[in-house]
Amino acid sequence: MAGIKSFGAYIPLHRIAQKEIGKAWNSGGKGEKATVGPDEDSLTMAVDAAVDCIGNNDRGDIDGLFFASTTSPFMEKQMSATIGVAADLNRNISSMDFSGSLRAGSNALKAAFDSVKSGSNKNVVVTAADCRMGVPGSPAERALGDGAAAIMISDTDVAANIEGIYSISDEIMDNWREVDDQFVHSWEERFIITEGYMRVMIEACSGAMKSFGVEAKDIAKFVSYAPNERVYWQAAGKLGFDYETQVQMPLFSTVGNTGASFGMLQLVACLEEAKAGDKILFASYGSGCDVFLLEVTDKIAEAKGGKGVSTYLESKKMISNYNQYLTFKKLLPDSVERMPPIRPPATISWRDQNSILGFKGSKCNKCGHVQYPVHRICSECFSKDESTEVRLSDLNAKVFSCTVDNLGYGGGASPFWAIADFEEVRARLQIADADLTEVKIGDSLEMTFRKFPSDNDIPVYGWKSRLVR
Amino acid sequence: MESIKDKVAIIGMGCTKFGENFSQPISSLIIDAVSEAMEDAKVESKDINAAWFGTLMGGITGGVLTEAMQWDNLPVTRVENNCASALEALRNGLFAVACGAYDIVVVVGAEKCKDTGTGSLTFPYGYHPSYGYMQAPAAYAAAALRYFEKYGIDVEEGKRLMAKIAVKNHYNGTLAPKAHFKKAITEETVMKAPIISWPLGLFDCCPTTDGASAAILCRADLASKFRDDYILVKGMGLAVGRRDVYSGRIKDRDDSDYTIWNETVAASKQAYDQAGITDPRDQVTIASVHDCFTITELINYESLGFSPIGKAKEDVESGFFELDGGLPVNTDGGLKAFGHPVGASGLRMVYEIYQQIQGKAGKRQLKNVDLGVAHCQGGNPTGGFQASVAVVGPRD
Repeated sequence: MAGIKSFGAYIPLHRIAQKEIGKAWNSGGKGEKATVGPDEDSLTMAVDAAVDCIGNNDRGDIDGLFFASTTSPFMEKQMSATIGVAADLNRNISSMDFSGSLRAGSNALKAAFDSVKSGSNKNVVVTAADCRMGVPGSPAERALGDGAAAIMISDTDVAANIEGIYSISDEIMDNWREVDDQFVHSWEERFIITEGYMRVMIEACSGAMKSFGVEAKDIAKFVSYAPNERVYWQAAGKLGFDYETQVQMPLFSTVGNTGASFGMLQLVACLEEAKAGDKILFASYGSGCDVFLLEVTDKIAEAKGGKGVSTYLESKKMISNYNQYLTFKKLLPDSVERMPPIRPPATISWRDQNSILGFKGSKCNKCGHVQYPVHRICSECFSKDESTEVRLSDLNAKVFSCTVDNLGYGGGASPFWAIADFEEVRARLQIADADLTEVKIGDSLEMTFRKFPSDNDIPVYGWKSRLVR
Repeated sequence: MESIKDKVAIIGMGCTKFGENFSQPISSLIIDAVSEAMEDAKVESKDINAAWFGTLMGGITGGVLTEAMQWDNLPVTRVENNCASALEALRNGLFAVACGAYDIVVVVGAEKCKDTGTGSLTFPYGYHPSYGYMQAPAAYAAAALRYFEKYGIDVEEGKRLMAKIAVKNHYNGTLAPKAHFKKAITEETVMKAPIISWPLGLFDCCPTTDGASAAILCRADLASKFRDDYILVKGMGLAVGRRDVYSGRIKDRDDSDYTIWNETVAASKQAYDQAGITDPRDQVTIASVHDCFTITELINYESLGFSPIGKAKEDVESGFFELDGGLPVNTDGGLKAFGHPVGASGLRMVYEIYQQIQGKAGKRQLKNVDLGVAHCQGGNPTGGFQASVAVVGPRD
């Protein structure tokens, strides 16, 4: 039976305390939320989550990569194709982007499940990410956080069987964002909760349980999307789940509502704590509802390998003030006038995509010497065109030397450079999310996919390093 | 291989005032430097057989030079080797004269760094994401930390060591009328300056400068027709590294620890061998070395063989490289105080040694000037250098 074979997550290191946002708007606030740094967006988070999900699974076995987001950096350009190269997957994967709805994540999961069940695919990674913004000062700004989750749907050795999927579609103007608007808008809350979220959630979950032949008491954990924590608990209560034991502890006050990835992120958190035999009812929301019934198998222990929600949640750094947050979100321009690097031509980005997006070096077939980026001639034995590409993105390195370039262009922060020693190769890499006082020679680095600034703001992507999280 | 020693003479030199020459285009700087050199050599445009023009960003083709000088139909080549571009012009002109193809050539370097809108060698240029976009200050800062780590110098102590070099060069600059900065500074000023790229502060970095420099070369046997106090080229070396010296196997690779500039070691060996220099610390009487950052000069003391490896600290502390020391370095202020118009710096260095040999260096005049070394180093320590070394000396 098809189901979830592995799962992973990505939560940005940076968090802002709600009271810091409150200070800027003369109000208070409890809890915190995760926020992208200046070099992160939905694509970068989706890559890190996908890599976390894939873990030690053979990348050659993966034949599908679906990306889900309402905040893709491109209106026109497929991100799943980019993620496929970044995650070093085969060319013959089925790549698809899902967008336009907070249900994009579960839509993609359903599509992956259907594809695997039909035999069209064997192993499909669904990676969902969002970094939506509310108008500064609005309740939405407080509520919306950034993060990604990835789930691999497979037909063998699954950690959780998908027993059934039940969907309804619903037309309502509750939350929306027009093409040229960077902020989420909503109709008034009484309406959108009563006639939107609550009505649809109850209808869909009740219908699903009836259809699946289960009752609330059969469910070990109920996991769902909700626009805020209050209605999350209310919906669970109305469906008959016990708050203390049957409802997944939500991430509203630690990560925030991460849109299309929020339900999946909570599902991943739930799976991290699940045990064989657990039945999980998972529901998403957005112009309707997708409800999944899962049953955890005895493979669950093997599936828990990556950093997941637990590690990424614990590993955090507080943003010192609201202005820094606005700069990270590009809502304030960089205060330092600097010259951005000239964007590399599309031709270079294309022909060297394995080095740039795939973080591949070349290993000499004759002498074993590794070079990064890929070189045609070995610098040790000078053999020509005798090398094999090797992936560096899932290796760790050590800081050989490092410094922050205060004149360099970082698109919102000064670039932090490291000379990084991998076991077999040395590379010049930026260290993301770090301050000079936090890094010393010899520290361990792991790799993270990031956005690089360029002269006309067309995103350029590649790999940086970060202190191990 | 034959040595270049004593085959070519420098019979005239010119150099503009280095600084923020906002009102002058590159053509104007070229005119000033070349005219001074031609007047100095007592040659006219019609006497010139060929020319080489070095620049990084000052325009493409030899036409930049011919346009400025209103020359027609001369063989002119534009050369570029980053910060070593002026010495590259010298090297090309030198070998052309030595082989007998030309009698009299002009070599020029010029740059309008102030037209880029950026500071401290952080010029915007196209990049390949896999090679990173690490600017010069950051790359040299990374080298500084490695040097301190390797020799057990704590960072504050290292910063003070580098500060002494900045203080020396700024003092020397006060004695050089054409220098960009003519203001003495204290160690405390250097130590307290804003950080550009830790541990390098503002006064550890050379300024962003406009300028041009030029030399007239001729075959040594013709030189006495032009002047008595011409100088001779004794040796010329160039070593160009790879952009990926930071990659590769870590063990057994001394070129990857950034505490010695390997290309500079190689270029100086070529030049010293030709000049017959076996003990540079003893035989070299004056040196203009690349000091884009104070750490650059510190490590160059060792890479050029002036200080034993790991011992530059002792020489800095004893004042060995000051005007009255055993081997005065950057007597005109160096890149740090005289300024660094990238493609013009190499011939500015030779200009200083030329003046010192002729006894025309004014308040900074040294005694008993014999062999002098001019050294330029383009690129950066984590990405490969273009290192050039010229040895010049008085006529026999």
